[in-house]
Amino acid sequence: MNLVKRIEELCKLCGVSGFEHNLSVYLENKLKELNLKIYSDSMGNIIGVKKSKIGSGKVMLEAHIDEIGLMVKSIDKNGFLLVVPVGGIDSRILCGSSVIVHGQKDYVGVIGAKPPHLMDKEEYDEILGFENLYIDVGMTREDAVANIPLGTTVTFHSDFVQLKGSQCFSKAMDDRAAVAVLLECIDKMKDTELGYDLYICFSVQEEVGMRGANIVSYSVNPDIAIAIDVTHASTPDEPKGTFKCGVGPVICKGPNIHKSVCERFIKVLQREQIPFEIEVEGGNTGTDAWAIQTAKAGIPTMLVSLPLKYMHTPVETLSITDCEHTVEALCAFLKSFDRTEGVLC
Amino acid sequence: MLKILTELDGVSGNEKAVSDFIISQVSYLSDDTIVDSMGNIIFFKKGKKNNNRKIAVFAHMDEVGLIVSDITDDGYIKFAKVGGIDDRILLTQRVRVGEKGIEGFVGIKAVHLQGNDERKKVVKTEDLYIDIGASDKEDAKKYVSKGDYISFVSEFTRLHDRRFKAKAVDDRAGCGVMMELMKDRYDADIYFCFTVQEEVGLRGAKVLTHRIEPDIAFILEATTASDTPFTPEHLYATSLGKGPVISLMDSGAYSDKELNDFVVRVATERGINFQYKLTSNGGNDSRAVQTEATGCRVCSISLPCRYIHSPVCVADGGDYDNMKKLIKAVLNDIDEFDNRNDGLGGEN
Repeated sequence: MNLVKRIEELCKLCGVSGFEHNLSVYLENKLKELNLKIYSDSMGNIIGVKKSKIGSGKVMLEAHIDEIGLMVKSIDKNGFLLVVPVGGIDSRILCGSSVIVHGQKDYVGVIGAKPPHLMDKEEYDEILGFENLYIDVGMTREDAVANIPLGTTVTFHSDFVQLKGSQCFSKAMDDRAAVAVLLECIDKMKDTELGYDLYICFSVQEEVGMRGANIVSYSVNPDIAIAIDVTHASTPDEPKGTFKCGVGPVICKGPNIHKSVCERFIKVLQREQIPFEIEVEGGNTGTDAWAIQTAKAGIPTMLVSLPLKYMHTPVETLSITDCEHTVEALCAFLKSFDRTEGVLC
Repeated sequence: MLKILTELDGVSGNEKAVSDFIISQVSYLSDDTIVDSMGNIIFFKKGKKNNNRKIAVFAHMDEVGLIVSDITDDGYIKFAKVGGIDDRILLTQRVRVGEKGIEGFVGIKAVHLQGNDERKKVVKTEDLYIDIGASDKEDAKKYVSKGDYISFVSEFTRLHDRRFKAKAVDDRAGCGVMMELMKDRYDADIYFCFTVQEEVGLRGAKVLTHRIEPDIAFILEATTASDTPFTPEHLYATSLGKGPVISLMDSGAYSDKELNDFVVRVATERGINFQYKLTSNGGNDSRAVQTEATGCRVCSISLPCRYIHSPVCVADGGDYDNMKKLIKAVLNDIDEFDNRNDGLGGEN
């Protein structure tokens, strides 16, 4: 399977934070196909291990499998669903969009708004907050109550589309593109014998506070961890300080990042002539790397990010070449050492 | 049929894909077909009886959309609106650009990058842009030109029961009903008119009315249903599931009282449910048809439709069937309607 196909399959699966079951099942099967030993924990994190026959160190690669979404909080007297956000969503993007309501079955619904013909002039300038939005699934209250329990999750109804050039858009690129990158990595390395155990960790609940990664890091307790996530790519309304899609993996520097591991990673990229950019974060990176670093007795951590436009929308856009370069970068880095001890100093 | 019709792109001024499709499907049912210089289509169907009245039925082919106004240096597309669209529904909306149907969507920077003030503001069209994945202006120009029309992308999808969501229900629903009507032959002579440019000022209907000068016209439309949360019940313009909508008056036309009464009588006799439009907001081709040329009696019969002028219109299949039934019955019985012959048309 090629990388684009992998990303597409993963993005199409639905798993709002706390409800990642579809992803867990899919990934357990994929990791099995790749001959990894599999563990899962009580939160739903999935861990695959490629055991070393030679050494005993541990390297962990991590990506989160949850996505942002909505949750049904009540059903009104005419069967419309009122919702709350799960994760950070700009309520202004919702009106006029299609969604999938994961009730007893999956139901397509729309998020409507008053038609222009019936609005006062002032109303045009008022944003629609979550309290003013509702989902129309075309059901009566009776049908809705029977088929859509309160607490049902809702995801964007969006296709995976390839734009002109190398960019694609879909919902949930954050962080399924990184999940695909990790699967591709393992596939590429299946005949490579490493001098340490390699842990591939797919964690839950990143979007609601990096909650899965904390638990995973505790149980794996690796010598080195690399979180793969997304970072903001530049758009016309935010040209400053972000990266263009297509620049390659973005390597983070700052207090969240282990300095010498990072330096080694960059040297490997330079040697292999893989394009990359440096991102500087003075504190919390807002990714699982932040939780991983302080798990158990502390874990040397790195963060590699894919530049992504329109984060947390149904049209998250990234460049496939960035994903390919990230696969190359991770493989090259993993092959660049036999023992984890040497990397840390 | 409604699936195919709503998934065709036909923003006002660019209705060709829709008109080509309609012609390919129903021109064999027509005794005389005219396509005028604006792109309006008239299918004339001779009546079984000799009749000196001109009956016309109208539906418009165009839909609201966008048009390319500029391409930025970094390859993003600036656009203007065509027809009435709320700025607030545009963010992250998927679109197709130009004849080649280039995929793209309306971009907005991530919520993380929005300041607290920004999050509370409506983003206006002039600050929005479309992303087609082009690397820069030169690259974008390979795919897109200024003036290219832009349509929403929204697959026709069945919701629960008989409800469905689609774009352009306004007024492909009317087109679909009219294509169905053309399969029958009626006692009266009937002009089936598919118009252009309704959404930008009823412009197609205007010139058609001058050409035909009808005595009686029925306007088949989609109209606002507002039976939704945060609208008090007494302000529901129309409701889904209560049948086709008969207008009394809107912002531009007063339906003919006698003609309306006749339609209501037909509906009642046949047991077809119907509802009145309970607002005078909004308007349609009936204004042009009623007030252009020699003037004529008009009656609008519409499909109730939620979230009209958005890519996610929601309507009810039962209402659609009843709309077909009602207008078909009306055309069958139209000879029973005693037209007061005031010499204002139909004689030349």
